[in-house]
Amino acid sequence: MGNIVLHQLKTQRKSLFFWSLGIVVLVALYILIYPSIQESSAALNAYLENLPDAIKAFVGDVSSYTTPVGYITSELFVFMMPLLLIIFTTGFGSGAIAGEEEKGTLDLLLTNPIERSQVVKEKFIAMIILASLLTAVASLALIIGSALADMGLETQKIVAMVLSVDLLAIAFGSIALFLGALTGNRGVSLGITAALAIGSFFLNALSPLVDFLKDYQKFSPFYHYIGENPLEVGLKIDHVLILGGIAFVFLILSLIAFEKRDLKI
Amino acid sequence: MEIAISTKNLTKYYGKNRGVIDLTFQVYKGEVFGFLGPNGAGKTTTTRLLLDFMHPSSGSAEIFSLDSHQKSTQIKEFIGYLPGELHLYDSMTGNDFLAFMASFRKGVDWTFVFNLASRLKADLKIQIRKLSHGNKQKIGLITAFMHKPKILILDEPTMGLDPLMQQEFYKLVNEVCDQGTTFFVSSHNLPEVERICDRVGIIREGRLVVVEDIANLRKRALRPLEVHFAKPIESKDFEKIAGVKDISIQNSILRCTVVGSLDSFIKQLAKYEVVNLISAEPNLEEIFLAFYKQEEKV
Repeated sequence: MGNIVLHQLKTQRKSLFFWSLGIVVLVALYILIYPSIQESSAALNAYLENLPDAIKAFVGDVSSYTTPVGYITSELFVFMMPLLLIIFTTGFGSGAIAGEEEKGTLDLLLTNPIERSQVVKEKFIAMIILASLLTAVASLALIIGSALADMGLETQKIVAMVLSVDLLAIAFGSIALFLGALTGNRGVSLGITAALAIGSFFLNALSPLVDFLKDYQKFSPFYHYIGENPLEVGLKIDHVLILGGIAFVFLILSLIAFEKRDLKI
Repeated sequence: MEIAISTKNLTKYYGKNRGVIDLTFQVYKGEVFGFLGPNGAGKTTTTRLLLDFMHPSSGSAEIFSLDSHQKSTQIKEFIGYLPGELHLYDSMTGNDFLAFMASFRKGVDWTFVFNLASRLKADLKIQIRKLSHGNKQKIGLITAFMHKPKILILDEPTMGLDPLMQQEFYKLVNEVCDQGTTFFVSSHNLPEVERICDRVGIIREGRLVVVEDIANLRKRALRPLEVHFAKPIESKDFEKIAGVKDISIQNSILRCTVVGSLDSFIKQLAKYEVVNLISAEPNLEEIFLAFYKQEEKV
């Protein structure tokens, strides 16, 4: 028990370090820019108000862009953070089974007296730990940055926001894990999951503007991630349950798909 | 005799493509069973069915009376396996890799492991990606042997090993076999199978052609030979010798195939001045044909 989790953490430690570094630099950059944004807030607000609705949708709530909460939400959490974390978890999830299968290392792993389901479960746990470590780094960077730049972000809300992005990334990572476990093809898993992530991002962003999409916004995981901004209102349990539920359902599907299948040579 | 591996009408199709068809055979405890066939005949499919990496389309396999699919986790407690296409975690060292593999099992004896490593001259301190194919193969072999399994399933075990290491490997197989371990060795290399196996199953195009004692196989073995003489010779000098066929002569060079024992052929050669004697590896396909011809006669 836990051997594969430990093995994953060990083999990912270098990549984890560079990902963390990247996230810290990203957060630091945006916080460093904030004072100049605030200085020109009047001009910026006027400019933002005149943007077409379709563009506004990708900025987040334009009315509050120059406030600390609005700025951090728009710059980091509408797009960049979920993008980075979904890339990380989707890469990990699609490689977890299919990557090892394509490399041929899965054979020796499964020569050991362990159930196939054990491999899937431990890879899933490793993904949660790794994604959570990255988001923990992000929240630390934000908490410290906010304090240094006197932005006054509430620690609790930062943690809520970061947990939400963690859950979103884990949900897409689970989909990638499932597609890899089902097909044994890392490329297929990566491609489909990326398409789903992009699709659900646009669904959430555009549905308030497009009539025929209006009723479908709730089908987008992005809606449950940031539809009610956790940086403003904290975490809502129903959104947490839905994102966690997606991860859990795809974990179960992964277990079933992988148990029945022939391994590729 | 206790049966270690037993298959019953074991069949695997990949969609419509043949994997293996109707394999029925037994491997006894403590024997070295060779599974011989050309590439693509179904050897790897068979080993992967035994390890439950794939599930049979029909039929079944048992290992020590445990169903290979239902009880695969239990079976793997006492199986050691070397895949035909070995892939290790490249970023690990041999030591790290062996420790990782050992972490799934109880009571791996590290003195034994390091002893294996020094016998095979495996370097366990180097990152695996920097090792040559043969040196990776050594780590694969150690992985298969290290927990002293009751059954060893080895797919083309000596591939990439240099001749000295091959000899060391054969010695190792003999020693471990003496302790009651069963071997299932798949190979396309007849001399290797002859060297280490007690019995051999020959597989061709997915079907088991025959299961034979090695001694019987030797009787039918076809050896392509080429003899260089000091002076030109005539074919009639060799035509009448038992077991010699396909004679062709070019000045002082004789090419022929000898079936079974070489004795009378060698005794005839002794009457001439021989410059060189070249024995090629027998062609598997020819051996199969020999078996088919015999089956047709029966």
